[in-house]
Amino acid sequence: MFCELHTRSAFSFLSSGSQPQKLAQRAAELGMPGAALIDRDTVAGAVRFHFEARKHGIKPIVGSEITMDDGSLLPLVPMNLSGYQNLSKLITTIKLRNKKGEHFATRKDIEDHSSGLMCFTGGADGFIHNSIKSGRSQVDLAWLNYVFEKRLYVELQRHHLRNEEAINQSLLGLAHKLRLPYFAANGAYYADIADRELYDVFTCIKNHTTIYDAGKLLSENSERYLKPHKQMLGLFEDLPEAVEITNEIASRVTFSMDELSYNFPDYAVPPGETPDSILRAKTIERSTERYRHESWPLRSQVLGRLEKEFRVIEMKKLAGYFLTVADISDFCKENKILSQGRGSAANSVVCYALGITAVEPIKNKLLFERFLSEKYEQYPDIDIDLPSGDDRESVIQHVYNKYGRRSSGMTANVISYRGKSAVREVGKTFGFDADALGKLSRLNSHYETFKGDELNRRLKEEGFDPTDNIRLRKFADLYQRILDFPRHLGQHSGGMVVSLNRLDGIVPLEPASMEDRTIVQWDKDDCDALKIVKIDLLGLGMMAVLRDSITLIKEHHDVDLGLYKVPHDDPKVYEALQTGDTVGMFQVESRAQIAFLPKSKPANFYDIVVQVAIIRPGPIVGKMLHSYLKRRQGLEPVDYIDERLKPTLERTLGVPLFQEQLLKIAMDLAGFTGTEIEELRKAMGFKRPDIKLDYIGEKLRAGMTERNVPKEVQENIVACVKAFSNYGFPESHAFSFALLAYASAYFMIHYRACFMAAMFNNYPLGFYNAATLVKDAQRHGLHFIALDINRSQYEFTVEEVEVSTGSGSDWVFEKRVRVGLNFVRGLRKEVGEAIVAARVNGSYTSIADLIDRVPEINKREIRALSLAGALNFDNTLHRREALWQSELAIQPTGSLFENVSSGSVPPATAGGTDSITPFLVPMKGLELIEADLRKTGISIGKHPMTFVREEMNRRGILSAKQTLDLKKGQVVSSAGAVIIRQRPMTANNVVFITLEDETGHSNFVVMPDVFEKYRSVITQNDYLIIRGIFEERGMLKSIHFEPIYSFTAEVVSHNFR
Amino acid sequence: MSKLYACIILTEATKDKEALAYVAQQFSYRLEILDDGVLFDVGGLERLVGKPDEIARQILEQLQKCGVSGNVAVAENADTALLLARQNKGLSHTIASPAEFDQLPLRNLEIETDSIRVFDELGIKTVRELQQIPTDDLINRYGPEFRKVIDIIEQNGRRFLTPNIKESSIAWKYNLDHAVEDFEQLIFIVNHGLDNLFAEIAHQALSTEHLDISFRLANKTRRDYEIKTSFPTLERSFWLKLINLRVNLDPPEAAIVSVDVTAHFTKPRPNQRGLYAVSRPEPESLLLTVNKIKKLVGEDNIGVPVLVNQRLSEAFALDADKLPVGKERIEQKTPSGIVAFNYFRPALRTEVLVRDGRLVFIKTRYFSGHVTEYSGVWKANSRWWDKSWQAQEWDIEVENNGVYRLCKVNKEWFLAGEYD
Repeated sequence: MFCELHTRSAFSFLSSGSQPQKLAQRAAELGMPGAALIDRDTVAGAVRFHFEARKHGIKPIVGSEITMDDGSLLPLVPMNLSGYQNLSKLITTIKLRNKKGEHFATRKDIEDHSSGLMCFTGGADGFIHNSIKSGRSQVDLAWLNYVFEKRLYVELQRHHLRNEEAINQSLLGLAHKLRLPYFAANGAYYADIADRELYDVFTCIKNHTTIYDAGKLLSENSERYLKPHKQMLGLFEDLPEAVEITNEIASRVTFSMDELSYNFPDYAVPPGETPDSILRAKTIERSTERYRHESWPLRSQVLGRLEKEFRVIEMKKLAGYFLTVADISDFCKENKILSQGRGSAANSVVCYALGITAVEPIKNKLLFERFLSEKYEQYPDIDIDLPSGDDRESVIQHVYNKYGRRSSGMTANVISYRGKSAVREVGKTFGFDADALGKLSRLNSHYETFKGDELNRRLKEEGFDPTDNIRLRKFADLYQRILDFPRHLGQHSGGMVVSLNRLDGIVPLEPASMEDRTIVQWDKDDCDALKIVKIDLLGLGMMAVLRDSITLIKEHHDVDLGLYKVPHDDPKVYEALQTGDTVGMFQVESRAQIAFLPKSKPANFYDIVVQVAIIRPGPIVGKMLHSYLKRRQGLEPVDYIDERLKPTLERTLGVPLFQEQLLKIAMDLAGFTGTEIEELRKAMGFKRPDIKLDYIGEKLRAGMTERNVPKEVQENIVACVKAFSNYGFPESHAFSFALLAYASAYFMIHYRACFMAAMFNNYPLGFYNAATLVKDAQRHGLHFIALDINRSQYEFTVEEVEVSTGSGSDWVFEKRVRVGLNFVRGLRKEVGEAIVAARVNGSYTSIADLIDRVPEINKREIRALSLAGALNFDNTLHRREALWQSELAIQPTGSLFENVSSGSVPPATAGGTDSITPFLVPMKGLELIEADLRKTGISIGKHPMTFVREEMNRRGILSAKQTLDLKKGQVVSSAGAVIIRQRPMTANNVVFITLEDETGHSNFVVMPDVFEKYRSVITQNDYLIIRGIFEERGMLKSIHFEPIYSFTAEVVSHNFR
Repeated sequence: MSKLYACIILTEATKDKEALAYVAQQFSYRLEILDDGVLFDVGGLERLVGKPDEIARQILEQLQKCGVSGNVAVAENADTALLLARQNKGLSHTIASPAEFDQLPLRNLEIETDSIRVFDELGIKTVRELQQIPTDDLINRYGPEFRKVIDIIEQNGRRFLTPNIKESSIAWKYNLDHAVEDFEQLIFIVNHGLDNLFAEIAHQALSTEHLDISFRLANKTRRDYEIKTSFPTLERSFWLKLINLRVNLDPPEAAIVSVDVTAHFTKPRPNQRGLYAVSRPEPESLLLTVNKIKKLVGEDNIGVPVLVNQRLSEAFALDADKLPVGKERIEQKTPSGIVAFNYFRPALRTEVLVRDGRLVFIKTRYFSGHVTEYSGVWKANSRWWDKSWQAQEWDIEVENNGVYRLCKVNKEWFLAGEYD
């Protein structure tokens, strides 16, 4: 039987029209006993191909075409494990040696890595084809024969092309001469004949041209599809032995991806010890300290629980993994990097005792079985949250340095063609101009995937008629087909793989676009499929904020706080949460959270865990949100779907909210085995379309029917599982997030100045723009101090100011936040820091003095500082005066006047804020606010709306505060800066708008028809007057929109994100 | 005589340019065409027309008469007039008064965008506000080049008008007393016309490679011919022959009543040749020969073969507009084993006997024979995105005959050509 030994998949980026899974599937349909995937310089598609082929009962062979120094390709296929390791190392060597995208192999590289590999001569772009064209085929083939003795095959391809035959005859001649075996292949670039169109589109994308101009870059015919045995025999009727030998060649390959035995690095242990003994000793030792302050009933359970965990860890040989993660955690502590373990690791007392996680599992009833179980095959998942930025990078570099550059790498992220990128790339291929492309892109502004006839409908709305126009029909068709095709390999947000042996013997490594980083060619799902354990080192902006807050609190309050030292029963925190006063708090600050919090009224830490998990598409789509809320408010009785589920669902009032609960339901009610549970977990978390939820749904139903679960309960559970796919939130994650949410709330409420300073120093993060955060902080009584070239640090700082209490002569110290130079737009970091550094020699006395002492400062930076109000030299210069003086001071002096002091610049001493230049009028009122917002993005002055408040009052337009308590059905207007425009995917095109004024926020819901009517007013104006009908506290249903034209102050809105 | 300038700025810069020059020329011959309008000298018109606002009104009136939409300003300084007219850009039919000058926004002046932004931040947004700033302060900050801006805001701009009207063609027209059926009879008259036109063109040291001939016919229709050469020439007899050939190839359907000839200007052909340059046929005679062949074989069947950079069934196409000038004979390294191929035009219909899936015998109008050897099938297809096509071909050797390319199109067989 014929085996196709040369196929290329979409992972040869832009050089194939089929996904690896489709190639495997089609090969099986054609009755091939095996097929080989040979992608270009990669094995990125190999895992998918391997598992799909195995699923369909055919033999998967994986290899790679290696780019040679003359640009030709040399197909290499591993025959055994050592061959695979050589191939992987070869790809790594050539990829790491050169710049990204400029790699090639030399003959020496091939010779050094040839063991265990078989070599084919390749297709039209193959190494020997190139040699034939340049007249040195015999020498080159002899070299290959020398390197791959008895493992070299001459490859013949026929695609009904006239010019191919001459090369084939040359190849045959050479094969006979050197007594080499030859075989027939089709060099398949796509599985089906119809995929040729997609292949042509990729050719155009690769060559930056259109389908109309691509000319002879496109394929001559559509013959590079997978062909069955009979058809190949017909093609090679003169050489039937070339077809028959393919099976024999395939049988020489004994290597399977299953053989890749990945081992987590062993921990270096002293003689006589084992990783398990070290883990045991270390954990028990640290648990004493960790549990020292806990109650005896809790402490008494620790050792028993630890023993249970040690047993499972030992059985699964995972001690090395735990010690490695603990090592990373220790590195963070030693280097004062705030870190917190997340994921199912939060269920482990070992992790808690080692200091990897911060949530205590026994007290919080987190079961270890959900992390690791002896019953089924499951691999631990430990995510470590780190402050984003330099801290995280230093941890990543620590891992590289400790385990070696060839033994560690970041997991890849396969970037696929999704809505917008698919529209643009396919649109460009079909030659749509910029205007049409803009319109076509707008079709996909929310990254949705069109189903059925929706695309045609949307095209018509945008003024295209796809039924009339073959170009649009083809565009629409190919747009649908290109979706989910890999585009390039990116870098996963934090997943790192480390290996005991060289990692490049398991998977090729390649340089990432970031300096000093390497990535493996598989994404996290591929690693998961091959049971490669990864550690996620994730950057979280809030971790950086908490880190900085802790430092500032220690400095200004002399209070030693840590993530683990925050009391979880602070009434002020719960009061703020219950009133939805949560702007700036981690995970509970979104508009939806603010609307939900006053209803759910969280009263303890577990309520926050629920709160973090419940405002997610899964629970919302699965209608769990409302059900939970009603039960919490006592409006609906608590029931457990089935009494057997009571222990699982008790904590969430009978409503399944967490992924773990659904897995447990599947075990309890449908009798899912360990493997099935793993499959379900993947299906709920996977973004890959190849995991079929429908199939799992059927399995669930069948299992539940067997256990006499009523039909409606079955459907209810299946619906929950489907709703959770992609958006399910595990309880262990929710715990870790809740901890950060609580800590952020606690810091904000009790140490607002320190927390806000830290927030601004790590901005951007969170849901709101900086201007909104400032206004919210000011409403909570925090004062900000203006930028000052002589007082501001590069970052925001906390200053203590003596203020009167208002009662006689009592004075107190108040903590205020000084705006940092880092918010001055256009000011380079190094210049900002130089300004601060040069102040050690005394304050700046004038603009000329500043320029003298910080010569690297440029014209734009001086202007920005002037307009931001930083150059007022103790109120001696107003902003325009400073700018006017800057314009002169920044002029080059010329050699003649080099040593003469800037005499023409008046010293910044006299005149006060009154204009010393008569034609300049100082900025006042709204002008100042606008300049602040323009130059720093924040304003510590009045809210712009205060300047029109009188007019608003006259017109009967309410402030945000006044909109909170009205009668239901009352029609009112409110005005403000638009800080949020949102259209959540779960809200059926309903848009939510939030306006901000000096009194707070007013919230509006916009129905789709109203939004369409006022689309341009809503999307093109920063300040709006909205008329609406009061529905409930803090929510109005909008009926009319009107812009406020009098402002030019900029508003950074959270727009449709 | 006092200085006075007028400026018209069009509402839409791309439209009505010709009419604009016409309107301006009614008032002055000293004019400069701008990208978005026209600037002209109306000094001395006060005595004829009246005060500047009256002049502006009359210009606007003329503009409206011509159906042109624009804005007019009259001022004592060219720059001032220009700025005033431009301030209302986008509006139609307005007259700007010099009194408005002080309120002009700074962005209308030719100041660097960067500096405009700074002025804006300083709260200096109009000409009047800029005038408040001492000249030295401005020069110190923005350099001596800023003097130009200062002059303009002080209405001392020194702009000179640059005459820049450029004709691109010249026309000649002749109305006949009686309608003429045969163009041959008109050759003498056209010859005279060309003589006049070419004399005028030569006077301007230019040449032409493009003539438009237009006949008004007795049936009240027009017939137009566009004649282009690939080189400029003022050789009258050559053009005459070319016109004659072209008209004979596609004669007018009714008698001719009048003749219009328009010659488009171009730079003359450099004629100097090296002493040892190989003498080649004059391009004029080559073009005439090509046109004579065109007359014989039809316009679509002559041209230079050019390779088509598309996956199409035809490997090359004829480019009728391209003339062989000898440059195609660039020395190329001939690849070894090249086989010449003669296309049959049209392809030769063939009957083919196929037995057991093998080509056995073919029969054409001219010959028949057993197929001794064949290779293929060679398949090609493309253009799936609009007019998809596919081809199936075989190379066959016919007994006691040659080697041919056989193709199958819609179940019919053809011989596409023969290998040499």
